[in-house]
Amino acid sequence: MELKERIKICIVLFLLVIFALPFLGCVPQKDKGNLEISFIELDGAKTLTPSISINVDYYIVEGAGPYGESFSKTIYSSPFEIEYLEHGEWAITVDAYNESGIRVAAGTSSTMIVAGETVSLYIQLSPPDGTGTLSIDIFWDDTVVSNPAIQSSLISGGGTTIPMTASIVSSGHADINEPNLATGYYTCSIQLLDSEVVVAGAVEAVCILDAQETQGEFYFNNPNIPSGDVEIIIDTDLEEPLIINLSGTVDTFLHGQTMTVLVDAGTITDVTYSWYINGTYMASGETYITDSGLAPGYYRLDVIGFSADNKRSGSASHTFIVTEN
Amino acid sequence: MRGVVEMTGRDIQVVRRIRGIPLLLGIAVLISACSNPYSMNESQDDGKMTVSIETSPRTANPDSSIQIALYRITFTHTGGEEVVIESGEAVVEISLTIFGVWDILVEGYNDESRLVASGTSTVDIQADQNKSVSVNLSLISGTGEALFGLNFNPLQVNSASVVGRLIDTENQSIPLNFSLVEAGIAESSITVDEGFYTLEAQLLDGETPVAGLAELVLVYTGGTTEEIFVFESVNKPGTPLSVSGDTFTVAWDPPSDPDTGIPLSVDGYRLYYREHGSYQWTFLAEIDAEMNEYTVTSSDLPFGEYDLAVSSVVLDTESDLHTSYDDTAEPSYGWYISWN
Repeated sequence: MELKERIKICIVLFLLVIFALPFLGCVPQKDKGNLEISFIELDGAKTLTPSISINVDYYIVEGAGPYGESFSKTIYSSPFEIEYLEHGEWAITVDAYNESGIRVAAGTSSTMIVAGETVSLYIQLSPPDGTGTLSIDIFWDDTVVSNPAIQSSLISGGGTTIPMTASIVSSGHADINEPNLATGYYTCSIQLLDSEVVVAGAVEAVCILDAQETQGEFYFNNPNIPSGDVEIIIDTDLEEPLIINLSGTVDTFLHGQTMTVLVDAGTITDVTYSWYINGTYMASGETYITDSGLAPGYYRLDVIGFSADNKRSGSASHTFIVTEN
Repeated sequence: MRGVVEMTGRDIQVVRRIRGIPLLLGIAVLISACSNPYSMNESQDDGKMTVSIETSPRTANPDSSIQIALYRITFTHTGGEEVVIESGEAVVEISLTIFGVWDILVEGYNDESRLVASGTSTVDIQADQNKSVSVNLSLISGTGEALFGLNFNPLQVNSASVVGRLIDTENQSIPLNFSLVEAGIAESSITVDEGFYTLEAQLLDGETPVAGLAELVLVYTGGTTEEIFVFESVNKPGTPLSVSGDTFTVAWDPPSDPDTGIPLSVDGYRLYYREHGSYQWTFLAEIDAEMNEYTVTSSDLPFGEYDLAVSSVVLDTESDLHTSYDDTAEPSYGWYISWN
């Protein structure tokens, strides 16, 4: 080969190399993959939590992969990505710490890393294993709840109901103290009863952390007091006098004539009447006729009426003169 | 009234005069207010009669009302709880938040805050129930006082006394002791159980009832029932004036102006009599105006018991009779001649 040919070949090769160089970084490394990890934390709103902060300040993420490969990273936000992991099964462990360095949540998961791909992994964080204590104080208006009682229970995430006992420590105040509760989230149910009728209640999520006490307070200030309505109808049987009416009376009449007088007690009909002339009993009945032989003179006619049950009575009178001529 | 002589004068007097051997009893009859209370006036003589329809209830009631102004309702639970409400209404609604059996006590107070009635009941109430309970109130049991006054004109009664009694609803009689505290006033007081009573009282002149009444009396526990009765007029039995001999003289005063006392002119007088116990007057004698007396002889009347009356005559008009039973007669409690 001539020198001129050799030079052309070298120039072409050089140009090919120059042309290929920018593409060398685009070639994936053999058997490597990427992993994107996200954490799922329970919402802490309206949740009874221990006195320590459960706000996560940072996470320590550790991974164990094939061929003894591993990693450990401290991160401050989710999601994050780890590159160049070996192809194969990886076990990922996450521990969440608060600002005081107390581990407040943990979670594990595993995934298959595929060479040349980015795998997404969601890890559920939960309180670390252990036991904690739940203390709850319940308050109500003792002026409206006369016969109080508390019903309470915890329901674990698995659906197991754990009964709790409330003690009334003073008027309008009860407390619950449950030690040795397994860590985790629970549903706490509290009901205030008055004479065995539920008058108030609340349900709230509870977070139990290892070696921590979770406290809560419930105030039932407006209980729905059940009531029975009684209508009292007062019947005043007060022996009030009867209103006795006379009719047919005249002021004067001649000796030898008579006067016929009628009596009634208005709407009261079952009345017995007694007639008197000048204080002397004469007759009974609703009508009285004076004796035609009544001597000339001054007279007072009285009638007294009694109801059939003798509980009401009344009288009326009329004065008249019997004249001589 | 023109044409009717109106006369006033001194009170009637019984005058005893001795004229010789016979004892003459002069009886002066005052002609005064010459109306006979038992006589119908002229307008009534035409046979007309006025019939009235009246409502005149009379009951002697206690001094304080039993009208209930306030109800106090006390609910007592078997567990000891107590709820008290007060209301002026006879229908009360309440919501009970403690369930079970409640005793109900209803007390009624009058406007003087005096307990006058009470009643009880019970109710078993549960949550969300509505129940209606009727409570009957009855007067508080106990005793009360009854005071009665009976007033009359002492001039009309010679020997006054009052008898009376209360009769309860079981027809049991409770005597009343009336005392004459002064002339014309008798009083009685008694403490009895609350309830209704019939009061019967009669004014006696001697042994004769001259007026009376019956009235319902209501007595409340702790209350005082006080009633004063007035007898404006009584039926005078009259006192017999015994005369003997063949004659007796009846005298009267001439009429006079009631305001000035000046004697009034009359044309004469007419004297009437009737047998005591009868009601028909009989003309006896015409007397001249100058004469103010008349001597009755056995030729005028036989011996017997007589009521007497006199009238005055002016022109052709005759006054009403003035009788020996008028209040202005003397003695004022009435009299009649017992002549034998």
